Amino acid sequence: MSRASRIVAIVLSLALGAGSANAQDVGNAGGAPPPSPAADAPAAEPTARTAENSPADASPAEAAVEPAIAPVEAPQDDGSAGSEPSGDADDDPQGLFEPEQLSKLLDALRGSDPDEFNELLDGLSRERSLGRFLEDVNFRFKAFDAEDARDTASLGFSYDFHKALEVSPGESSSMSLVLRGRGNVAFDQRANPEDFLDTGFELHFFGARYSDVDLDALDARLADPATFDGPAEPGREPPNRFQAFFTQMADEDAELETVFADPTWNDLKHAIGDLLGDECFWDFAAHASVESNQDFSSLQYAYGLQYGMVIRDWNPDSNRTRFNLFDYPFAALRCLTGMQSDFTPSGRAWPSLLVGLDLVDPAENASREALDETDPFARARAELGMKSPLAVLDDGVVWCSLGYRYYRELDPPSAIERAGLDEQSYFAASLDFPQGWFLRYSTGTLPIDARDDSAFELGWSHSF
Amino acid sequence: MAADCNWNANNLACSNTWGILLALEELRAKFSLAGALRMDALAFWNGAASPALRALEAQALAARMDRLFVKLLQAKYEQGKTRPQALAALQAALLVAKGTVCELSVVVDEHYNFQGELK
Repeated sequence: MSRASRIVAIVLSLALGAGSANAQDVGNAGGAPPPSPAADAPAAEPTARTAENSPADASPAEAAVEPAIAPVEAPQDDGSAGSEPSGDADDDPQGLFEPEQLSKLLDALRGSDPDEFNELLDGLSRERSLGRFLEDVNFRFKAFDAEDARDTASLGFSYDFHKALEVSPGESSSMSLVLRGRGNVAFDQRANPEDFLDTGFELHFFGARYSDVDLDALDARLADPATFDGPAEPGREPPNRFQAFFTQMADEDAELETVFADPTWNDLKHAIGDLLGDECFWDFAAHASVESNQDFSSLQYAYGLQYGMVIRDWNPDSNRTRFNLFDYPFAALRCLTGMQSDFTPSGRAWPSLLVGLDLVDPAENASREALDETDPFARARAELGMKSPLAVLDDGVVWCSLGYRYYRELDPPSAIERAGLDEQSYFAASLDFPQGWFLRYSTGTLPIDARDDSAFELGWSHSF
Repeated sequence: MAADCNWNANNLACSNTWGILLALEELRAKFSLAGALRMDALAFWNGAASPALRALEAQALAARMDRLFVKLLQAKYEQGKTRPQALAALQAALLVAKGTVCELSVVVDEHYNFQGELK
C-alpha cells in the first residue's frame, strides 16, 4: 500500500469518524455492518459521541451522503472491533484497514460525487480540531477526469495551506517566513491531470510603490465640510467621511445601485485612484521545497529565488491602462455583453508575473533515474496569471482567469533533452459564474508529472 | 459563514471591510450578502494560477487594503499590532479559500482601530 493511499485512508476515516452520525446512518440504511469503533472515533477525537453528532441531529445534507460513505464500514470485517461503537480513545487510526480492505474502500470511492463528501466536510464544526485543521489546509474532495484515464471520473482531494509564521518590522517593506503546501491526490492516480505535490517554506521581502499623493489635498477632501456627517457622538472621535458613508450604506443595507448613485461614491473612487494610482507591488523570496507526485514514487527537492510583481493602474485614463493589450479581448467581450459602454481595457487586469531560478535535487525522481541522470540541476521558471471580468449576470460578475507556467532546465544533459524532460509548460483557464458554476480547462505538464494531459472540469461550488 | 462570526452593520470593521472591498471591486454585493462571500469568490482569487502567484496577489491586496484603511479611513493599528503583522494576518486570511468576508473582518478588527471605534 502506498504512503499516499494510507494517508487518504486515515484522513477519510478521521473525517467520517468526526461525522459519526453519518457513518452510523449509513450502516443502517445501506445494509452494511455497523461502524467499528476505530472508524467512528479516531484517536484525536476520543469523545466523539456527543449530542452534536448523534444520528438524531444529522442534517439533511449529511443524510444525503449515506451511499457514498457506506464502504467505510469495511473495517468491521476484520473482527478486531465489536459491533457497538465504543469511542475508545486508544484506537489507532493507522490500523483501521488491511491492504485488501483499503483496496475495496478505494474501489468503492472511485466515481463517487465529490460534492457529497464536501458536504460532509462542511458539516464538521470548526470547534473540533479535525474540522479546523481540514479548513485551515483547504482540504476539499474533487473529481478528476483525464483524456487517457478510464471513462468515469475518479474521486480525490486537494489541499492547500499557506501560513505566515513570522514577520520583521518595516514601513515600506516587510519580511515574512511562510510555510506552505499544496497538491492534488486522486484515488486513481492515472486520472490525476495535476499529479504534483509541493511542500516547503519561503522567506519573503516585499514592498509596494504607489503614486505620489498630495496628502494635504486628500485630508481636505476627507474633511470636506459640505459632506461631513456632523459632529461626533460624545466620547468618540469625529467619523471619517467615507467611513460614515460605509456605515450608512451598511446600516440601510442599500442596494448597489443606491450605493453607486451616491455622490460620495464618486468621491471615494477618485480618492482611491489618488491613493493607489499606478500601483506596483513587488516580492522577492528565497524558498526551499519538496516536490513529488502523489504516491511519492517520484520525489525531488528544490530551493531557489523568486521575484514577483503585481502592477495595477487605478486611473482609467492613464497610458498604462490604455496599453494593457492583454485585456483588449476581454474589453471587447465586456462591450458585447453590455458590461461597459466604451472599448477600453482595465488597468487592474494587468497580468501578474512570477519568475524564479531553482536548484532542483531530483532524488527519487523515477523519470530521471531511468535515464541515470540524478544530479541536481538548475531550473528557471516563469508564470503569468490574470483575471478579468466579462459580464454582469444576476448582479454578479462573470470572470475569466488565465494562468500559464513554464519550467526550463538550464544546460540539461543530452539524455534529458532527448527524453523531453528539460522543459514543461502548463496552461489553465477558468470561467467563473456568479451562482457558483465554473468551467475549467487545463493542458500541459508540470515538473514530475511526465504525461501531457488535458482535462475539462465543469463544476459548481457553494458557500455554506 | 463561521458560526462565531458576527456580520453586523454596527461593527466598523465589518462595514469598512465591505466598503473597501466593494470600492476595490473585489466583490459586488450589498452589505447583508457580503459577509458570507468566500475568499475564492473575490476578484483577486485566480483559480488558474499557482498558489505562489495567488499568494503574491493576496499580498498585494493586503497592502492595498492596509493603505486604504490607514490613509483613507485614517485608522490606527491596534495597540501591540504593527503594519507587518496586519499585512501578514490579512494575507493569511485572504488565502483561506473557504474563509468568508466576515472572517476577514474579524482579522481587520483585531489589527485596526477605526475612528470612532469604541475602545
